[in-house]
Amino acid sequence: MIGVFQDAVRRRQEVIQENIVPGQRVIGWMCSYVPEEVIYAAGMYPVRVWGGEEPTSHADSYLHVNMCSLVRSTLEQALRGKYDFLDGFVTLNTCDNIRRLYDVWALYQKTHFTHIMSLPHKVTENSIGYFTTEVARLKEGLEAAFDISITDDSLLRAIEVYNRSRSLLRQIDELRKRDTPPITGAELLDVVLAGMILPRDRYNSLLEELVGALEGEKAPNGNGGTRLLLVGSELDDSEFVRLIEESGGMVVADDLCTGSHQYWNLTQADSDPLRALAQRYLARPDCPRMHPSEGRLERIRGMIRDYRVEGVIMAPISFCKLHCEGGVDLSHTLKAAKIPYLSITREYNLTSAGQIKTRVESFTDIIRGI
Amino acid sequence: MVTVQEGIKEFQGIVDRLGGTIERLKARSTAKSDLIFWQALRDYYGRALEAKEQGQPLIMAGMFPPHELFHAMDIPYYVAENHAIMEGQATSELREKLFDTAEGYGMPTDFCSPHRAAVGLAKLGMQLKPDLVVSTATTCDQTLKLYDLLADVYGVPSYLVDSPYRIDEAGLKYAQQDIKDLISFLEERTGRKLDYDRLKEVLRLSKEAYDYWEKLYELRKTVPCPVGGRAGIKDLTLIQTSSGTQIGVDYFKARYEELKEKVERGEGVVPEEKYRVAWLYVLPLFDLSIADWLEKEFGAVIVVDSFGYAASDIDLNPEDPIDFLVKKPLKRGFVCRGYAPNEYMHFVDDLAQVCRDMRADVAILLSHWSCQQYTGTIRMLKDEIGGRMGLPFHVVNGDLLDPRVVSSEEMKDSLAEFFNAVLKG
Repeated sequence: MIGVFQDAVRRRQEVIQENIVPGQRVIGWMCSYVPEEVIYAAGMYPVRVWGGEEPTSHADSYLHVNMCSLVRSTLEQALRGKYDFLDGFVTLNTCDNIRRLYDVWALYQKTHFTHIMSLPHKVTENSIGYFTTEVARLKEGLEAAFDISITDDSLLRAIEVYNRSRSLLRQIDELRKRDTPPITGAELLDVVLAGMILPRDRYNSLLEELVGALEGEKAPNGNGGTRLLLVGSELDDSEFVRLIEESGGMVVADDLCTGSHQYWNLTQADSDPLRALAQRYLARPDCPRMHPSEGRLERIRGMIRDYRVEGVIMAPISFCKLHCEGGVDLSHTLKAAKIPYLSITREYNLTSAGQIKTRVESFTDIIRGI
Repeated sequence: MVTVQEGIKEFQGIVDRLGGTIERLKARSTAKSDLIFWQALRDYYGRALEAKEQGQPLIMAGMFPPHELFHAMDIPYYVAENHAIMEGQATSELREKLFDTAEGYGMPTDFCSPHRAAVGLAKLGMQLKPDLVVSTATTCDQTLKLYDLLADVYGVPSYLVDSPYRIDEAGLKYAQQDIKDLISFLEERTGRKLDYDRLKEVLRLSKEAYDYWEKLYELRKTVPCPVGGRAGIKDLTLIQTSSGTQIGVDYFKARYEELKEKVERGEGVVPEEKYRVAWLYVLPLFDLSIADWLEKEFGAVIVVDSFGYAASDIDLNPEDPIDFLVKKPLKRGFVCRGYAPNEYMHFVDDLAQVCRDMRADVAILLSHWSCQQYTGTIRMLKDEIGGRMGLPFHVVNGDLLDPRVVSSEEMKDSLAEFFNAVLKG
């Protein structure tokens, strides 16, 4: 059952191509603050834009090497033509790296529709009102670029569909609270990532089946390892998590934008779907770009308690300023709470697997008192 | 946790040293603006010190929040980054101690060096403990997180003035409400009420200073340029410390009059101005003498840099204070105007136009190792200014405050190679 999701992630480009309905527009998005529902409501196919395995030789001539490897790898894919099939590219001013990726993409790529949303840095009535206008602007941008109309009804339907995904994923996530969860951290990451590739309706059907299978699971998949919370920058390679879980760890919770942030909270749909979406996306678990940082720290403390976490692995991507600097106050918080933590600064593509394995093994040994 | 007394002692030392500088300047013939500069700086540090000694509220501010608001509410402040740069310029021993301390606190080594210095100062107790921290989302991720960290070090409340990614109608409305919320925050935390008439008066003074600052920028377009590369940073220091004060106006007026006289005499910075340089970022702050070296070695005068670029297309009206405070940062150099999509703010075209307006012969961009906000624009600027405009364009790798990344000598070698190639060409 999990294999379907893993296959979607491994063959992501081909799977997207296999699922495009003739005549359907495909809109690439980057960053989990993008309200996908608007793209779905437009009858379009939203797909996550991310990097690949190739070296970033082309991208490095556009974006300096001090920019994170995620955006350089993503740009590399675009420059190699891997995203030529996209009709649009949507993102936000999430961080400096993504901002400049967008500027370069908009200037040098020939994507028909490019759009960057302005994302507030805090959650207040004022910022929700502002972000509502930004969600509306995205809607209007799609309507103008593709000569379509996105109705409130279609938005409400989209909200319902995405809420369903999130509810199902939350149900799966809850199972990780068990002593021996029926799904590993690596497997759940693939399940979540697959939702950024597969058409949403098909994805929901697969999730329904998976929930049924997991809840009835008698033989646990959990490896009995040290219960870990994984925190960090964008992660779309479950091999990293698998490595941790083969080194004595068991990832039972995460604070990842490609993980629990995707499904943690639902949209409270009412008569104003745009505002409802703005509210949901702003109020979702905080990225370290959000102010104040206490919101994020409080959530992490809650997860440590609720998932009976024994240790935290912080895994920022090198040059990811938000997560690297966000890790400073997180490490102090963990230290004050006497929660063991390990910081592994990584690259977008998995490198130094041997070193990571050794470090995680030592970390889990220390926690277990070995 | 650092003690209050340690910070007071440090600031008292600064005020005393500034006082000494002023006395020495008075004893010899010096430019009027120079004397005013040091007096303004002493007043600024003196106000902060007095607040602490008297148990009055003190703000630690970022570079871009509305400082005029603090003046209007009589709440002294000091800008953490400016202070860190000033201290970091003192000696290499101090600088490295600050970096080590910050890195020991957990800051990665690739973080912006002025920011590491700021955290180092905080952890070492070498500055006044604030009661509040007020910062902005402009202009980069590191600025955003720095003040979160500082508020955490000091255990004090903080307010982030958000920066919409476009100042369009909705962005303006959001930002205006945010400023109003800041006012409420300050009133609540300090017990002081904002007098809007007082604010308008402060803004009139601020505008007057900004108007002179823009005129200074216009004077730099003259051939030969009447002022050298170091000017921008000094001017910006007063923009940040003294906007909204009479002494701020006095400084810029004096500066303008001095430079106007030079222009009328046809006097440039160097005997023979061979190259006009558009320095498309900040000078390396740990060694500003690189600007002097360029002048002496190549007759190359930096006619504009990021800090010295005063945009004139933003109207500031003191009678509309909230609007004024929202739009004011956009006047300040590429740094603020680059916090927007290029397709919206056209900052690449903007900088190309700056090169034309300043009659630049060459464009140089210091690629500050930590600055993704800027390094991400290198290719776009190179293609536009170096490519389409055909201006000789050079990227010099470096760092703002950490010479261990790239030393002065390495930067000079890179610049010399470029200028020699331009000369031969």
